[in-house]
Amino acid sequence: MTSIRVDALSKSYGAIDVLKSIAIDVGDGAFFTLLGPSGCGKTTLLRVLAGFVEPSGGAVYFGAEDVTQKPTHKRNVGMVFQDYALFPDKTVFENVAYGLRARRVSAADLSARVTEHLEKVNIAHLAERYPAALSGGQRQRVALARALVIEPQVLLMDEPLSNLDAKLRIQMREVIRDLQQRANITTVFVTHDQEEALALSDWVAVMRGGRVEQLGSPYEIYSNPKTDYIAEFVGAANLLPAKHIEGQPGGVVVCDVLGQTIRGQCSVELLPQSLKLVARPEETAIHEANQNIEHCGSVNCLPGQVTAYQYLGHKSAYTVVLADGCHITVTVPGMERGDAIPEGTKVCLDLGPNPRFVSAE
Amino acid sequence: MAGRFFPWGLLSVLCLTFMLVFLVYPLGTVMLSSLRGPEGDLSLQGFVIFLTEGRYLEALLNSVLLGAVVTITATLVGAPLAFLTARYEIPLKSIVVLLPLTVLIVPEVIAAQAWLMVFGNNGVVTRFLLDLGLPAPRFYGWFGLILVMTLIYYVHIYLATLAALRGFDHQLEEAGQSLGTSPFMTRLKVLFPAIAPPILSGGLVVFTLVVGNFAVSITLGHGLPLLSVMTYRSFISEMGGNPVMQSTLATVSISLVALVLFLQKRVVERRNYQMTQGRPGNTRLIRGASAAVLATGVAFVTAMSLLPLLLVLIGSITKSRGPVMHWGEYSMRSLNRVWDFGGDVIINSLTFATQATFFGVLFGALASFLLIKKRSRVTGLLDYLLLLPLTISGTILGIALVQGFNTGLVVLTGTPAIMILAYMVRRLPFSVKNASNNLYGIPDSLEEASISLGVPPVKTALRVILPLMAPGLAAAAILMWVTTIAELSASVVVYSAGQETLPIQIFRLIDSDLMGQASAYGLTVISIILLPIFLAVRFLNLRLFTS
Repeated sequence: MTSIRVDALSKSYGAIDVLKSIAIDVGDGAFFTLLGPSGCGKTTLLRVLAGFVEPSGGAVYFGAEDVTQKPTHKRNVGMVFQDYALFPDKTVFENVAYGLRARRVSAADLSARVTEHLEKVNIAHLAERYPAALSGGQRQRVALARALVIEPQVLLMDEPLSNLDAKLRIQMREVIRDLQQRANITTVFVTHDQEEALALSDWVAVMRGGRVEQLGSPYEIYSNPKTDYIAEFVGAANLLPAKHIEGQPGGVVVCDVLGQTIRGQCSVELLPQSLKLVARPEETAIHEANQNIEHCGSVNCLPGQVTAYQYLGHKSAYTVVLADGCHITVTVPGMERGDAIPEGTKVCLDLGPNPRFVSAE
Repeated sequence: MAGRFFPWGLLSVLCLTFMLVFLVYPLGTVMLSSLRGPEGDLSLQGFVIFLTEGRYLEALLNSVLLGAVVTITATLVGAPLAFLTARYEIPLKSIVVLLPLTVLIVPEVIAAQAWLMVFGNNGVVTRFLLDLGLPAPRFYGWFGLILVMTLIYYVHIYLATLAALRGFDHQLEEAGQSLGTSPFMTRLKVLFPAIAPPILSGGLVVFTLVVGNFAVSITLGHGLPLLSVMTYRSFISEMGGNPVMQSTLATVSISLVALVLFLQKRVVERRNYQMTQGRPGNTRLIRGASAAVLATGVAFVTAMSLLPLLLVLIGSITKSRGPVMHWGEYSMRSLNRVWDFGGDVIINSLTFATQATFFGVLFGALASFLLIKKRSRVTGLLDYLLLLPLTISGTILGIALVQGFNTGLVVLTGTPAIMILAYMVRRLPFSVKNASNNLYGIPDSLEEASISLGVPPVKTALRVILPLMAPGLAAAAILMWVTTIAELSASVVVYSAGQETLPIQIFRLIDSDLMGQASAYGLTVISIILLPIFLAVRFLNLRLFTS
């Protein structure tokens, strides 16, 4: 158990900068997620923490110790790989015992610790099986047990759930979170799945192009994105161009959005030249507009016309075209097509009292 | 950690150094010697003789012609055979699967000798025809060379075609037919362009093998000048003297093969297509007359391939006096002579092969691990150098090693070490390829998992990767041992008195026209080769012939 600190970390391969002056702090026992699309540098950062990749600059600390130059096998990290990386010629028991054998743990102790960890992940009955005879979820459990049995300082996980089907993924999420909480182990988790990141983490760092674009609690990241990129990547978002009229960041900001005056929050430090309005599909209300009145009366309202309706089971989605040809998606509880607002109907979209403005590129 | 020289970088450099010292340096020596005059001065004398004395140019042309003809005949036999076995369910199909085995278990020199017992001066058929007063076909020269080499080398084309057909996505053909072309036209327009480049690559391999072939060329060539035979004869006649002609001829051969490889890179490889998915279609059952015709064809090819085995077996127990074989009368004398006098030769063969295999597989394991798992600029060059022995015939490699280590700091010529080196270098490409077989499937994360659990990199390689490579290494060892036991073309150049191996002994006996004894030694070689193959397939469940 230890905290992790990364200081001005950079990595380049030739002329390509994969990581650009990354600084993060992961508190003792925290579940920290690196979230981003492929190629954003999240896996490289994880591999720097593991010691597989030597950084071009900067330093990595485990607790107070600078481990930047320490080879992987001396770092005492538990690592869970995307493909689990189970030794195919070893049984489940021997896979889990592997790290303990390297540490010359006595036979009795070894057996007890392996069994204890197999029980923790509910696969004690599979101890004598080979990896090939296990299901995806079972392999995942072996990989977790193998990483945790060595009582590592930190647990590193590289997209561990991406090879599982949707249902199993949600089940394994709970297993991982539960184990992490019980062992109270500092964990860095890499994923491109925003829902996974929100569900599991204490802290999320959203990465883009080798940089951390926003760092915060899952709630903060979702409810208060700083950029259009974050808003779009974490959860679904409609982004509409906004022109600043008045107000300062931190307070109420008034903007012109497609000819309508919209009041909202903006947390970006310096008010940039261009802003964008974030309209979450599930937070936007839709009403049939009175034919005669352009404005439905709400404070923040945008007029539009329904162009498509899709029934998705637990919800339905309207596609609405706004002024200037902008399209946005609005979701409502699922309903029969006949009960829905017909295509071609003029509607009014209510953005609520506090929509958010984010900086855009 | 990445970027550190030790230990993988150092080991890569060591492997590269080995290849530079024992392959590049000797070949360089040969090429330089071709430019030396009688007093060691710079001179084009060798090339002047090559171009002006007609028989050398004739040998070059003959070799190229023979290569071209055998490539065509081997393709005509191998490609249809592969198509039949891949696409149709025909009678006798199960025996065709065994064909690749014949290349391994019947060494070239034995195949040549077996066919001589049929069509040679004292052959069964020749005698039979002469007794009837009919003219016998002239087997020595073109006819014999083309027949025997086709029967030896069509297997390469067969395997290349089979691999291409297995990798071909059957849905492409279905797509073609759904778009309105007939099944035949679809094959012509969709299947053929996709499988032609790999077949052509196989053809170029056959061409280089024919041009470099020694055993069949020298036993069946007789008066016909051929490049490989002339190179060998120059080597023998220039022994101890100025190695101008052997070097010149070797340089010409190397240039010829380099040209072929260049063509392959430029023309063939560019047309290789990547299949996104390989879904081979179901095989179709054919019955009736066409099945009978096809089965007869398949049976004929198979029988011709396996005939040498039977001939050698019969030859070894047939009564013989000097060159005369008394067919139909049996005696154990030939086999008894092997038992009484062949001990040293057998022991030589076994010791050389075992040592070469040990070092070859060790190198193969290390090199394949470095090439696949620890890529660097050094391994890139190593990868390239490891292909080189494929293109150099045994004769030329032997000459290069003899010349390179004749004098100077390290004198190896005349020692057993040069035999072992020759075998090792010759078979390294196969050793590395077989050792790599299991490596491609091993994800890098496996090594990383072990390292993250606290096991240092070298120990990780030994504990995690090596056990997973084991089946590939076992296959590499068996194939290397078996092909080394059968090796003649390099052996016959580098050996000294007392180092005779079984194939050298057979070669000498053929030269003296002692077919009974040659058969007895042939049977010995085949038994020695079959034993480990049988054990491997039976007890280790090795799949030696999947490529």
